[in-house]
Amino acid sequence: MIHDAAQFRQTLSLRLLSGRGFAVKTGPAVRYLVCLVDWLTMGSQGGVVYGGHRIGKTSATRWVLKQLPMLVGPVPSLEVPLRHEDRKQDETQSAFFQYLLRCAKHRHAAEGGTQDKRDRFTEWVYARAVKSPIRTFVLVIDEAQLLGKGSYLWLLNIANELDVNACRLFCLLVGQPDLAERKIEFLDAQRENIVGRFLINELPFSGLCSEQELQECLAEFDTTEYPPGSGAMFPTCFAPNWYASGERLSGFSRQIWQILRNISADAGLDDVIVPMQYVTSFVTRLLSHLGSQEGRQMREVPGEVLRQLIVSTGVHASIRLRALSSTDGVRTKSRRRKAAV
Amino acid sequence: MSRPTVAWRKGSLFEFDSIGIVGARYCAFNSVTPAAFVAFLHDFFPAGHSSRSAHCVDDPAFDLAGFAAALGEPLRLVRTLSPSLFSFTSCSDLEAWRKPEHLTEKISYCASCIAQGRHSFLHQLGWTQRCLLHDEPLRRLRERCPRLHVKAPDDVRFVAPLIRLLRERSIWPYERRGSKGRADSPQVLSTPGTRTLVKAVQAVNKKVQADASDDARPYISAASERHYNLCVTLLSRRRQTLDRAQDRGDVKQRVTWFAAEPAVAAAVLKMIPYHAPLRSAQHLAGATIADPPRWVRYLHRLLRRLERGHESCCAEMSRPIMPSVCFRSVTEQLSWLDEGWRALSLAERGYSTCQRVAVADLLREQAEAEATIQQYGLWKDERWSSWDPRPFAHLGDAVEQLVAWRPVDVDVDLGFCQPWKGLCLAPQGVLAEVIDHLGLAWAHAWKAAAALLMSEGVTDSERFTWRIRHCEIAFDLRLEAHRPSFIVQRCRTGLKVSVLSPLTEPNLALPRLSASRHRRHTEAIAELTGHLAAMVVAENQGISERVWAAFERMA
Repeated sequence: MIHDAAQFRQTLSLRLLSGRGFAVKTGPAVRYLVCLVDWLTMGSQGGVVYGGHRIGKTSATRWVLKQLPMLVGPVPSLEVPLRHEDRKQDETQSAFFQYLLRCAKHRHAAEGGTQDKRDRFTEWVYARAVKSPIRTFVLVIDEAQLLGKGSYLWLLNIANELDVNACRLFCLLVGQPDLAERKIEFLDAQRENIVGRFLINELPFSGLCSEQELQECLAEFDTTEYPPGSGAMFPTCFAPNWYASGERLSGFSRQIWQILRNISADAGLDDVIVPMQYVTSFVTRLLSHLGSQEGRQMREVPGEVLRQLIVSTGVHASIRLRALSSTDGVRTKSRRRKAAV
Repeated sequence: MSRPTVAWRKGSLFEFDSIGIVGARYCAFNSVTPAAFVAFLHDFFPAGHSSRSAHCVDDPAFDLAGFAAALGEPLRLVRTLSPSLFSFTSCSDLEAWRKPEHLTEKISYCASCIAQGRHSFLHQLGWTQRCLLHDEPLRRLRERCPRLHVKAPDDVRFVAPLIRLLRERSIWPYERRGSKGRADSPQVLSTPGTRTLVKAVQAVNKKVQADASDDARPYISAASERHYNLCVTLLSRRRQTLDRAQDRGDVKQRVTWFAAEPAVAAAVLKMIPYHAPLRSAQHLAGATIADPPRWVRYLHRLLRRLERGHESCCAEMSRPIMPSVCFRSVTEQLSWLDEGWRALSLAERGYSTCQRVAVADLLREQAEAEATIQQYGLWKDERWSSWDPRPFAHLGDAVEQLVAWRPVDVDVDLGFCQPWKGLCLAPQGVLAEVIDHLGLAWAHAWKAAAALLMSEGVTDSERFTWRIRHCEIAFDLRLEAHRPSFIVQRCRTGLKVSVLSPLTEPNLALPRLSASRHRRHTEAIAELTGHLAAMVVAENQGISERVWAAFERMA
């Protein structure tokens, strides 16, 4: 029985960490949403959201797209996790549009020639954009730093074709900080049309930056219903008695933040920025720990246990890596390897 | 695993569309071939299912809800693609008409529907002679439509011909830019025959223009005449080839000819104003002959006919019809002009014998035409005057009751051949009006609701409306030979009653009624109308006088 419960908790944790559970509202995600609504309502055709690794850009994008209908009405979207092509000749127009059609789960993704695929995708986008009250289609391109120059031009053509039919293509480019550097490259290459169309709006995305944000985030975990429609809160899946006694995850925020501040100070950083991935991982570990302590009448979690749980998520390595990259501009492989070790 | 998506503009599906036009739109939106549409349809059949049905959506194994969901269209609308709506449940003779063998093998279409990018399965049913939407006679392509796939339903084969038909009309904005089909290849279109023909026509144009610009040569030169003769010969040969290709059902040949025809027809049309005999005739007509003899009068008449022929050619070219029809018409006119030119040449040269023969022919033709016109006029008058009001005499009371239903604007449509009290309705089908206003499905719903109303004695109008809106009525169009039904539709100004019966439906090629059935039919119409009138009189009392005045004006 105990084994079953532990297995259930583990399954649930993995489900959440793989992004299939639910997305919670965080401070950066709210800022992201406000920014996106602003871009959409001001008539922009693109925006860039960039940030470091594992800070939850993709999950935040999904959450933002889920919230968008409440603010601007239903907006169709397509998420395209871009893939890297090793060979230059693989980055063809046909391959690009076929991949877009595959992401759209199109029935005839691989049929016909290049122009057919291009027309097919344009029509597919138009058929959805025209249903939206703001006649806009949001194309989310994840790992957009991999997008080649030709792809930008093809997207520009599609945007123009939709514009003829009074619809708008909004390209939301999500990627690593290299994406911001692409803008400078395009400006150097006299490609202002691409910059002006897709790269003019920027949003640097970050992890949780303050104790209040952490508290709000944990409170979201406290109040999220899971499974949806069941009426039960998410922590009760792990530790129902602990939750029933009135304890909440947000109550740990001060302790957690203090530990994170200490780790950052040890790494030589003045500020604390926590990637969302580690917060989620920590929450599942903490809840699993609380679930395993259900029968022992232990309401409080010792500070050392909390520290161990935080360190076990690997957040300290991430903070040290950030410290290294911020203090030293030269990113040598050996120092990175050392930091990772 | 979620179902694959497709591109489909919501709202591109209309009531009673044929699966062929749905496929044509699907191919356009998704830039795919008709074969891909067949593959798409197979997604909605169970695995390994081989559909032998005449109509795809009528196949019980077809997942209609899945199909509607894939297109993003309401299921209610997708259901109207099914010809089973038009089942004649009470008459065994009529029931046979919706069997597969009555699905025409060639594309039948209404020009107005095609101009709007539409096509209905009603056009393909063997018993329809006119378009139920536009009340226009249906046209038929000569091409036979082969099946696309052995396992595909019968009606899917119309996809490819419809795409071609819409493309030829230049109203199809979706062209597969990436397609490299043989039919679309410009190399195929510019066959040597076409090139030779266009060159010949252009040569004639050039010669005639040169002749016209040279004042020293008022008449056509021998070189121009030779070119012209060659051109006419080529045109006639080409027309014969076209006809033979169509008769053979040779698709490739047909496509090639059809695609090339507009260019040829345009070239021919350009040639006609410079037509040498025409200019000669004009020259002769303007000659300073004070008292023209008989042959000059003949020339005048011939000139007028030539001018009319030219105008007719121009009109044919401007008409939005099939290029082949246009081409044929132009070539016919041209051959006629050719005959006229020969007669003119003979007359010009003073061969009186030939002239007399030609004049006699002309006069005979003219007399025949006049006789035809007179006959048509007689027939036209006779058609209206021969209407016998006696069978409908007892309808008067019923309609009087309807008229007495003061508050509502009531229009009783008993078909085109039954004017009542001077109210002569336009010769258009009842269905056309109904569909035009509300769509046939709604008309069915109203009809069913009226029947419901009558059978259950519902008199509360609110309840009546509520029932209409909330019951899903899968109602068949019952054209019962012995008992007509009627349609009640809510118009902008009031209520409209239309009677559906073989007696009142000239658009449907229904069998002639026997005398006894005719009598019973008429009585039933009166009974139904009277019943409805009594009902609405009892139901409605307080509608404004304005509507009533409008009805009075109309009546």
